Amino acid sequence: MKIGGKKVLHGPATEIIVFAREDVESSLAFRATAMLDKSEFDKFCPMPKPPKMRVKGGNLVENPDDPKFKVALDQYNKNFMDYMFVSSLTALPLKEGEPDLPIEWEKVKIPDKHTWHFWEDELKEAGLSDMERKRLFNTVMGVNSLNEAKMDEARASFLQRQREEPEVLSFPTDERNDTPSGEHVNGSASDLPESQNAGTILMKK
Amino acid sequence: MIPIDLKNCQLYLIDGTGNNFIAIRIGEGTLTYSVKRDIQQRKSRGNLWQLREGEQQPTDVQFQFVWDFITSSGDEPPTIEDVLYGTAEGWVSASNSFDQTGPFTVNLQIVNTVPCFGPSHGSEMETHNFPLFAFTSLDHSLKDATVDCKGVSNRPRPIVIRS
Repeated sequence: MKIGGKKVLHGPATEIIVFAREDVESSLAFRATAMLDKSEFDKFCPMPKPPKMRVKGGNLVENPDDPKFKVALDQYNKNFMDYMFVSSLTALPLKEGEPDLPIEWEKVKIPDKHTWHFWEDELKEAGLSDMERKRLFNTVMGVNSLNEAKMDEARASFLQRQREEPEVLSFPTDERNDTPSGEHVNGSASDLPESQNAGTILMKK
Repeated sequence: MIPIDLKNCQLYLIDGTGNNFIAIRIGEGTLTYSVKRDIQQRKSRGNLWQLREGEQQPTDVQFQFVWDFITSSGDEPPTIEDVLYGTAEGWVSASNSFDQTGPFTVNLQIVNTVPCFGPSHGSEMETHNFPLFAFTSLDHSLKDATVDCKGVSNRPRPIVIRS
């Protein structure tokens, strides 16, 4: 995709979170990267379908109130959260410029959805406290969701940046000699020469 | 005949494995059953003396109702006819293990949840079980969702559980 002729290569939203330890080298630094698509998740964990029920007239319709389906849907949502967490998280390298390090889970196996929830046990074994695990989870969820407050903040920041652009924007214009100049509005006069005055917009801060 | 008001009850037809069932949510209807006992009298010198129970008799069961919807243990509920005839896929007769040649039977169960008014605000559940039910006549209209069925339960009396 291009915007204004430039290819958009910003990549997905990311957030860095660091848990301090005794020294910098043993600190735990993670990067949460927003998941771009869930096709792999769908492959390993297809969405449950509601069973059918027979209604008057003999027709079969979907029954989303089926208790077993509700349980399956709950489990599906839990699986998605776990998968999102596991697949969004990488470790930051110690040297800048190096690529992120993948987390080598020992119990979590991506092709087996029944192992995805073990991420919490593994982080616990790695020494992350309950609060740290929750914070990490919330960071991953935050980067993967469209938080309204964050979007408002981003919008305000973008508009502020737009307003702080250079005061005078000049368009490349050629002075056209065949255009007669009229009277100044309300008899006002400009200090600028006519050639510079043309095609110039004064921006207010 | 003992009548049971089926309004807002759930009627289950369960196969011999217990894994396959259909649950029929009933709008209006009645189930009646009749228990028979063969009681024989013994006399002593012309006077009534002892009672003896003769051979067991099956329980006659009949029900008429209008159903709201039918759900099942599987993804797609079979029809009531398929279940009672034993043609529903994967269904095993309730009497299959000891009777290979007899008609297809299901275990029939009625669950009635009665709300309790009082400090506990709980509910009371009453379950009537008619094991080994085989129908003798069946009228079912899918269009009108009406069922009129008669049959026998191959047990001398139903099993009633209240909780």
